[in-house]
Amino acid sequence: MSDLLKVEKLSKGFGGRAVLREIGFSVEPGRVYGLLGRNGEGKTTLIRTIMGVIPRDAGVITFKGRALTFGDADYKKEIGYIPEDAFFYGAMSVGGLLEFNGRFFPKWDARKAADDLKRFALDPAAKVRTLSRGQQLKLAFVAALAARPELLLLDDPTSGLDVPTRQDFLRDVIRELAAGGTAVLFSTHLVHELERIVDHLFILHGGRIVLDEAYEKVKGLARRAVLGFDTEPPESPALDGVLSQRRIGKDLELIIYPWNEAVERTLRAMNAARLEIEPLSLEDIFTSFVREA
Amino acid sequence: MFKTLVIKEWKEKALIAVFGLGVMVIFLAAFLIFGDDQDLRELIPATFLIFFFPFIGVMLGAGAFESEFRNGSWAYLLSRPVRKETIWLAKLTALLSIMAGFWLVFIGLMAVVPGLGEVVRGFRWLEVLYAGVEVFPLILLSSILYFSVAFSLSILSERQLSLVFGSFFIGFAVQALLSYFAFQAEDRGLLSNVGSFLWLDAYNLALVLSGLAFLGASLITFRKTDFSQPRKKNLSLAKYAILFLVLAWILAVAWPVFRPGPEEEFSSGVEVVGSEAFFSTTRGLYRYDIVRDHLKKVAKWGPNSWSSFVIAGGQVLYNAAGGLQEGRALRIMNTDGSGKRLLVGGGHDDVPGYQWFGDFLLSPDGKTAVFFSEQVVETVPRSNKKTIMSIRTDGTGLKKLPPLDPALAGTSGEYTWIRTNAWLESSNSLLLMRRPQRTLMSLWTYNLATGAQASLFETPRLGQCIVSPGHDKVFIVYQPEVRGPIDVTLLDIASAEYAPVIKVENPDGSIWFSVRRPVWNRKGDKVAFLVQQDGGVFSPAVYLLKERRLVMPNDVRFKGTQELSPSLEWTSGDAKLVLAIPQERSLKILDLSLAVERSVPVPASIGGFFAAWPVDDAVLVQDFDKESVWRLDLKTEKWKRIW
Amino acid sequence: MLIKVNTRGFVPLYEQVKAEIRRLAALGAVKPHDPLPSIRELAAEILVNPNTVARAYRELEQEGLIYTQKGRGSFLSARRAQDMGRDIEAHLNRKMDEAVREIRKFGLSPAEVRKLFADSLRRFEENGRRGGGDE
Repeated sequence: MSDLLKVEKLSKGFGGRAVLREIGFSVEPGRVYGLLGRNGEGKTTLIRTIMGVIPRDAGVITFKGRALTFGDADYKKEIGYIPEDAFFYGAMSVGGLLEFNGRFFPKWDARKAADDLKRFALDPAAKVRTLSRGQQLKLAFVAALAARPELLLLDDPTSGLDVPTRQDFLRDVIRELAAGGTAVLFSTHLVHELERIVDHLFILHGGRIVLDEAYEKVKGLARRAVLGFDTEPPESPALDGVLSQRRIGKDLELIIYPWNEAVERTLRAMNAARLEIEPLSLEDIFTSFVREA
Repeated sequence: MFKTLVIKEWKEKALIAVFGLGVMVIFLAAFLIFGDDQDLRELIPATFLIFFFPFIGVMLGAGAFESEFRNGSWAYLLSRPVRKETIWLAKLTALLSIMAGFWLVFIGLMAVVPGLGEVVRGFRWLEVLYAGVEVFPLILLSSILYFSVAFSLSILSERQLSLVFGSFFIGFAVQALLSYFAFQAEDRGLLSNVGSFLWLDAYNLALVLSGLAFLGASLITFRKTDFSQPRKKNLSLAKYAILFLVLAWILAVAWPVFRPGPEEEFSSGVEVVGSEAFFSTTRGLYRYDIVRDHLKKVAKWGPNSWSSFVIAGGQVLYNAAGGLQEGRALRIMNTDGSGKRLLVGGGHDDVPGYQWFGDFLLSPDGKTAVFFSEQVVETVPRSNKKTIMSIRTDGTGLKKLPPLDPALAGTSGEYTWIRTNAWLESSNSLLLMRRPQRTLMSLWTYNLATGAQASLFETPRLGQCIVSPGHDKVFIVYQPEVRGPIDVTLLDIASAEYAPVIKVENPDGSIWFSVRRPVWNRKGDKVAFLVQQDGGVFSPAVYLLKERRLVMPNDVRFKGTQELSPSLEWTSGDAKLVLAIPQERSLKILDLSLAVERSVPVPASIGGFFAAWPVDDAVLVQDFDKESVWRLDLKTEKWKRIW
Repeated sequence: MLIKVNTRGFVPLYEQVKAEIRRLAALGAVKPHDPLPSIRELAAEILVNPNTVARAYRELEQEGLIYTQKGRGSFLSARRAQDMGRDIEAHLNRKMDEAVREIRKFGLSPAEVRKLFADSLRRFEENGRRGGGDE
């Protein structure tokens, strides 16, 4: 399938400090991508750069085959953008904002916007600045999706919201996915909700993409191995793919990616009293990749 | 999409618009209530103008990007599918339209409210030449500048107060700098040789261009800026603002200097001296050598000037430059253009006011120049004391000649022009024409040796007075009664007796057109002229002095109107008369009995109005429409354009 | 539909969905020709990527457990008892494997595991004789 969005050698820095170093990845239509990274590591910068809100220092961004310049605006008609903090004009009313927003998008579905407003119980006459965070998120959602975009860019929209709200949001996203075939790039540092819907993972760490893989594959190839010893645990084995290790009492815990038979053999050869091999949750996978070495 | 953005901006700025209108209402009320008091009548609008428009400009401009800064809506707007240029332009349009609205309301008030318009239009600056610079347009222009500065600064921050102060500071600095330069220019007469008040054009242009410079810098900064990095934004804006500002000022100065001036136009007829013809235009003095068929520009002056010149004894005395400098210096050179030197004036003396030169004359031998000088002091009323002075053309011997008789010079309360008419060599005196505003005009002699002055002739309306080559007689056209017949008479200078030549009853036009172009022949025994008859027709006439007879055959008539009037000249041998008849588009050669000997049609490429000047056996035709000079060879009847 | 999936464990989500549908079919909670929830509904209900549900349905259809009618949705196929039995067996085996894996974490030997099972079975029978129901 041809790429919807492709990023090559993207670099961006602020005041001499490099935040993104030659980032490259691509997004295909209809799939859900998770962009994981620690706070402040550049997820928002990356997304803002893609959205043309801030300029990049170097690199190429291609959308539907067309290379983008900082001044391009047309491609944004196909992208729905929901940022971390509400960023609408506070003085506008909900209905006014949606009407204003609709003027920018040729595919704007005012009917859907009105229906969604009702579904979320948002009052069109209320001023945007009077909405709670959760309501603002819903509004952002309505605004983004009524434009029938081909790509949804979500920049940590649920951080700071409570669990039920987050789950509701997830449900709404899923409903839209099932309806549309929209591609989603979901950036977050709260990973467990992502686990259930993500197709493909990007992990951003140290300014680079340190993991770019289908989620199933990652899940399949990531393991936690716990070796229990009766005496002092030996030195860690020389193994490829050990993302992290730690000692818990007399046990040695290793996080390994990618897992293969050679690794298993090596571990068994260590003759531990107990050997447990377990799958990892996405949260654990993420933590292992981004833990300071 | 553009419209949506503009409407959004209007909605956001509605409060300012209402506030501004409110202030206007207060002003209007104040003016209406206190308008009877003389001082307040001027003070209230003046205060309002000076404060309101720049202030509103700054407030509108400073608020341009304010709503985007609040809760990060800039990220919202910039992530919409709309080009940054469109956003910028929409804001500019919306805010400027509000400004324009205020202007229109005020202009409307000026038209509707009794007395307001007068007062505002009366605000003038630098009263010069009874005109002066209108202040109201200047305020509007400077409010554009303040607005532009504020608009461009508003990209940098949301702190309105800082923006307002910063804008006023910068706007004021720019305006002060420009005013300083403008005053310096006016003072030193810079650019004025290029035209009067051009420093003002440059100032206005600089104001507008400075505003545009700031706007341009703001557009470029907005297009490429990273809103999350304020320092870069500041630097970018500052960089481009300074760059464009410098460019703007260079342009503002360069334009008046280098712009193509108005078309070069004739500022005189052709003066034939021997086999050389001289004519002047708004750009310089030209000399055409008939024998060598060679045209040369012998003197250059400012592109906008109407300098005048006098040729005698191989010297050309002329008034230099143009614009405000016109009349402030007399220069002299040889007829071939060499030896140019400043004769009088042109300096900056530490005297109040300045010296202004009126008419001037050269002695026939070209060794002495006589001129009128006025010391102009800018008091009200202006004082202009005329002095007559002389100087040798080598630059020495500048002296005041005996003062003018008060009857000649005129009294205060009525401005009197004194025109120099001729240098009467034989009697070493000058012939002067007195033209007061209201009382009788007269012709005077002024003896250069003794200073004796005498009035020769007096009449309510004096037209042409042409002195004979021998300096003994004057051919005078005058009108003894306003709207009465026009008389033509020949005056003998020595005896002050005059012999009537012709009387034109029911003249069809002004004194200058009813009797056209009296010219003496070289010998000085004949005067030829044209008389306008009824029905748009002119008749040639020749007055023979010796026989005291007028020759004016009835059957010789030529078409002509006031606009397309004919002209006539003697050929160099006095043998024939050459007439230019624009309405018939031809030149006619007449013999001494005024019968048409030959008629030469003028080529189609010559314009509607022209005059003819015989030189040797050619005729120079001066085309006043197309500003060109042609040469017709009388023998071959071939035409050639020489300028 | 009472389906639960979890992201722990090695089993991919789509496999879990398939397994759950098979379990419900085996238990009789879904009868032949009963309609299954739409992909969208099921995905929204259990909070998984619709692609996951879509894949599960697709594979189940290939295996013959469900069939789809255009415009009307997906339905459970009529199955032979044997197939049902096979499903139940596979389900039970899976359950057993999970239990054993859990227990082995504690480091018990196979003999000890068997003892645990025997004890558990005995407890069940005793409860049954006493007239208690399923716990």
